[in-house]
Amino acid sequence: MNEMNYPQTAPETTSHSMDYTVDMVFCIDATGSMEDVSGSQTKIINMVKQNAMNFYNDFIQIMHKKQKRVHQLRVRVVVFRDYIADKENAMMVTDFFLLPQQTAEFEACIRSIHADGGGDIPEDGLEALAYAIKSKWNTASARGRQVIVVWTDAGTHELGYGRRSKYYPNGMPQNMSELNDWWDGMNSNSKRLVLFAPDENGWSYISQNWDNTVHIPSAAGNGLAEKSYNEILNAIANSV
Amino acid sequence: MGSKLPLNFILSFSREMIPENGEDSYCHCFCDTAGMVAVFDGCGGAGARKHAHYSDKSEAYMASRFCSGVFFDQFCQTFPSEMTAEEFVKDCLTPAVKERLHEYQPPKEGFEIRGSMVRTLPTTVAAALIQQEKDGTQTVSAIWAGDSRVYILDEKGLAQLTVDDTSVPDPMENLYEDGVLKNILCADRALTLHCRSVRMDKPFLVFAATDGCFGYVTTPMEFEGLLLQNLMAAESLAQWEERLYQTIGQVAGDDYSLCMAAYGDLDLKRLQTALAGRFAMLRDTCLTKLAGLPVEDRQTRIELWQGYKDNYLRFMKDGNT
Repeated sequence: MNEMNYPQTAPETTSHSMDYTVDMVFCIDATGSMEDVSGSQTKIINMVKQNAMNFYNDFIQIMHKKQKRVHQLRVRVVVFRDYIADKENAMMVTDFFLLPQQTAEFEACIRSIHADGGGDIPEDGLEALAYAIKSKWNTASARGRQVIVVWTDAGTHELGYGRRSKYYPNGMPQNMSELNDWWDGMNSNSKRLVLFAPDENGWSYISQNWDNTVHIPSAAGNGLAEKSYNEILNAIANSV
Repeated sequence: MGSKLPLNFILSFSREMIPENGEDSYCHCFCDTAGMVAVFDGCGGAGARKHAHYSDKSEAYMASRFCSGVFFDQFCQTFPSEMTAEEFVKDCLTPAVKERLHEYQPPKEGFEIRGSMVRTLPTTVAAALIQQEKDGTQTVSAIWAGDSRVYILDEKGLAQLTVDDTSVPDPMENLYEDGVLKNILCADRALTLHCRSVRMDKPFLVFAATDGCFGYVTTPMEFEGLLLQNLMAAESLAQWEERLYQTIGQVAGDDYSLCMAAYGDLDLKRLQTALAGRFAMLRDTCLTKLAGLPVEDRQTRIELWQGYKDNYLRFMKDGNT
């Protein structure tokens, strides 16, 4: 055997800092039925508002536990109702709030949401989802993540149901197939969709057919136990 | 497959990020003419559902252990045998994994979390089956699903045998993009176990590793550097094992497991001698340049990867998948 001649020690290994840039869009159903009282005697809309304000913080904390650092977090809010019944109040869309810098503005926005209107039971949730998908995502970061969360207690109208309203926006997808294409157009490494929605029109189809989707079949998460809530957070955090 | 397989030593370790809740598992098993090292990484995102009747463990936790048990049992029941790796996968592993995962019926508890991202009992697997051939050579077959990997380390350096089942299969790019898993073992989808075989006629190390081992360095070159640097500095095999465990632990942000077997006339000194030249070359061509490089400088890393990857992927041209 040859005489050993060890090389000099190599430089220390460089580790990846697991930095993520996370954009979230919260789509919140603000129709009258969300005023109903949940099992814990809280109005569903108030429970959703509280959950929306907690969600990003809980998400960051669980990411931190997994040694994944959220380098930048932005949250945008889409409040939806029904174009036919609620006209100009059918859709309220914000820009992204940069958190934690704009926490006060974000929380003020959430607190300002009140539930009313809606007309018939299904709502225009698919249009809200379309708005969310077309957000100006931060796609510059390799580990950028785009998370859409929907809270609703109702199924959806078909896309374009509210088209006869003069307040219905231009540029919406013509049908579910086109909305599918919009979702497919997002980077599959990055996108996640979380549905706190009943197993009804629209949502059940999306749950079964869209990739990267977690669905909690319920009225906007009403009655969701802490254990299940943690499982959802884990599902999202472990998948990013 | 007459002669005895020249197994020399094995190394293995596993670390849990959250004590008692680690989602990795591993196994190794050997007989005179065959051996297997395997790791399993329960998918925490897809398998986040927990079950009170199973000590409140996640399905990811359960799946890696279920499948580890199946691989171990199937090896012990099958070998010694003339069976090829492909036959072992098709006739033994696939039906046994399927049966094991399907016989578990998670009870409905409260809300049922569903959706395309949720799977029942999801886990990755990377296993290396080593078989002695009559001519004195060995056949190494990588068997895998997901992004855990099988590697060979020989005098030419580190080489990956598996192809990641992700949306970003390039080993370098995947470190940055963190691609979505396209194929895993689970109870609610079809099972696909890939198999790739290569013939080895010189001493070699073969190991299986979960992504916690190799996914937190900035390039594949640094993972090889980590292996070799600790090898050169070790005074015993146990110390090499311990150093690897500690060094990977310093960079990993996840559970990690590694299971290694050495074949041929290899003790620590021979291994160090055989790989000294390779380490010096790697140090000079890559590691020194990488050491001072800002983490953001991806372009330089890609250029270094271009010069490295042909050797690292040298087994990709051979065998079956």
